[in-house]
Amino acid sequence: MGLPSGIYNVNYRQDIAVFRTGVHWAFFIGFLIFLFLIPMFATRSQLNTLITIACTVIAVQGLNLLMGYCGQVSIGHAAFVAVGAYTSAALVNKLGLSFWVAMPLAGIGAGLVGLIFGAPSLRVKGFYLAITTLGASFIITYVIIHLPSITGGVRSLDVPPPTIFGYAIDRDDNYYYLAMVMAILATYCVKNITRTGVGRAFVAIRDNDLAAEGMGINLFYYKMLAFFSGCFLAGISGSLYAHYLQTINIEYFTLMDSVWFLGMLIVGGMGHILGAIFGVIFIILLRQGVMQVAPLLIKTFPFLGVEFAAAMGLFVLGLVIMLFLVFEPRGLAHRWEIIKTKVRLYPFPH
Amino acid sequence: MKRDVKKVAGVVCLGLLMGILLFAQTGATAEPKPIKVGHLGEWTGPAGRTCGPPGDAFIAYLNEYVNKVKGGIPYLDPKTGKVQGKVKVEVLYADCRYELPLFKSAFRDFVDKGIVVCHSTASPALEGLKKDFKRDKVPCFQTSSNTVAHWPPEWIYGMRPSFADDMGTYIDWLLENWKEKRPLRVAMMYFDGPFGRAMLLGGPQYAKSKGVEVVADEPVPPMPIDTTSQLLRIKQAKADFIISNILGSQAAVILKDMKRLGISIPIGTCTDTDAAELATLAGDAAEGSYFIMPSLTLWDESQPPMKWMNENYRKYFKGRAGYDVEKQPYPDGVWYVGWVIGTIAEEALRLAMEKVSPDQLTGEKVREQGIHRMKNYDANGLLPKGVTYYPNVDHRGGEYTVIHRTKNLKDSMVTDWRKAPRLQPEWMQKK
Repeated sequence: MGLPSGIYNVNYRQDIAVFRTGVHWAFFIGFLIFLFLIPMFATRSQLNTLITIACTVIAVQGLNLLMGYCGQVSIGHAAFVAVGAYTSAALVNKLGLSFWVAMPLAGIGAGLVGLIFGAPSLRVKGFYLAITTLGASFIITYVIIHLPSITGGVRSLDVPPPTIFGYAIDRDDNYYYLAMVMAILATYCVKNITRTGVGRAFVAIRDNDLAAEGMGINLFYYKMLAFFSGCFLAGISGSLYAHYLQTINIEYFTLMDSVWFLGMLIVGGMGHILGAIFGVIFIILLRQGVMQVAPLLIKTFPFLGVEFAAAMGLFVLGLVIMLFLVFEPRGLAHRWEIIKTKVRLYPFPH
Repeated sequence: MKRDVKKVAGVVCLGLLMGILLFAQTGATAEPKPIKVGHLGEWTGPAGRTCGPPGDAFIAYLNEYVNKVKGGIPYLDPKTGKVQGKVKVEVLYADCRYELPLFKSAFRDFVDKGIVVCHSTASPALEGLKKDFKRDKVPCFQTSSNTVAHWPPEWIYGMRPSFADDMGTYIDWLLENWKEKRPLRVAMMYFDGPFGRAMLLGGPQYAKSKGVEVVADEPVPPMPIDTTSQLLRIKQAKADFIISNILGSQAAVILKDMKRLGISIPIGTCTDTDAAELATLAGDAAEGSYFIMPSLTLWDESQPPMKWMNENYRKYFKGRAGYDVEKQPYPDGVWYVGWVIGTIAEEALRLAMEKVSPDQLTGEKVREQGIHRMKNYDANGLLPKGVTYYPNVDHRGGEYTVIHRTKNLKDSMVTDWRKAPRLQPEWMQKK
């Protein structure tokens, strides 16, 4: 699927290649160059949006691994992001560790917490697992609020910016590079996981866990691995975001954020690497667009009032997600594949 | 030929004359560009009910009253000290829905567009943006009264005592009226989050220092469905008064539960959840409850400042979605706070433009030449005790407040303006 005419996969290595042809590589390298040139012409507000996108992509890739590939429902993903953020902040503030050590440890911490709340997945699935992960959201929030000596409780916790060779990465233009590199690395890691036997085991569990068990796949091991790796990425995202904001508060990681992550994955396409990226970009840009359009709407129709325009924004977001579920349930990634195939087969029908 | 030359010459001269006149006019009366002010609002989201009205009031004051009624804010010639003209204000706003990424994005967008002062309503967002305000040198007024947002006193400014100070005010008032020999017993109920727990930053310690027993400490979840267990524990602890720091929607649940359980312990809130809002949300259950607000009774138009404010409220919000000026011809407490902050922002800009021309106005200059020079500003009579900022020491602004009570489902004042104790937790005092 998806190869240009005359190009065939003749061995396994070619079959699992991420970029199969020179043209693919050229496009990818060109895209990377474009990404890294952006700070030269983007405003601070645009860079802020892109950094938020990068940090969110990492979290949603984790959720993609867990839900999209392994089929384990999680609606408490923002709580694991919070665990990563607070772990990183605590390691840097209390133990004086460097950001470069604290970030992976934050990921491991979030992964271990994910293991605890992933254990019920051995007994329950679907809706019931969703409720369990919902419980994780409330429990983690409660623990963070009631451990003020470590987390600051309900007070905001100051987080220093990362430094590299004494140079602080504390501005939007330089933090952008860090966030983008981490987002690309996270996407690369998730793609590699899906290309291995682990990834195929995840897919088997998602499609039919009983059949997978019958084939010899250890459900316990792979489900726990899915929770650990998904929550590890959530922890990395939390750490990055905390050091970008330079302050964290438990109210930055709410249940609504978990719902948004889910919405991003649905819109982007579950079980597809690009799905997480497309979904995050689409939803975040839609939110920004709604935020910009609302004041213009009020200027044009003042009788509406600010409340109506603000509420209309949420209405648009909800409507978009519903329309995707109805008309494109496989998400933007699937639509992208169709577009690519149409272009390749042009003028023949897809 | 001569006639044609004369005609052409005449037209050219006329054109030149008109051009000179036009140029002269534009040169002489060229208005400075509007001053940009940002509002990081919340009309939707968990705090939309409470944070929407102050945003509406702030925008209406600057966009409608200042620009259209007053014609703008006067600015002086720094050399002569004479009024040179008036400059209009343009309010940029965004609905941030209590989500920090949206607050950050909107603030950066506003800074790119050149705002010189900002206003916001959300406590945790203000804490998250503290470093941004400092880095971008844009002062921000806050509707909320969160002590932590004011600490350290840098670029965030309030207009009233903090929630902890409000708890201290209740304690002082209760002790003044306490006749029994045994110690006064108070219970605390608060929203289990940064805003609600802000009351604990100095409030309980002050109570204990005054010999008051804090017999119950009951956090309330953000969306309370039922508060029976908390209230029964408070009843069991035999509290004499409940001091609470909760939003209006939460207060309604608590008041209704109290009525249902037959608990008659007096309850007072530390926020601007006033009688009108409580009566709307809780009905008869709101009767007799107390609240603290830095204002006189909002419906009492025998006070000229209130009459002025209410007339403008009815003028600008008549027929607007979410406001029924026929049924309630005066605003609620949170709207009032937004309007007052609008006046304070205007005064800060006016003071700054006594020293700096509008084209050279920056956030730093508004802060140094405007806000920090503000002494005892009375917000057009709405804050008769005045707002004063102690630069880099105390940015709370207002030191006085009033205890109110819901009587016949309307606001009535229990005390006159009282000076609130200035409370801070120990960790702030050590710094």
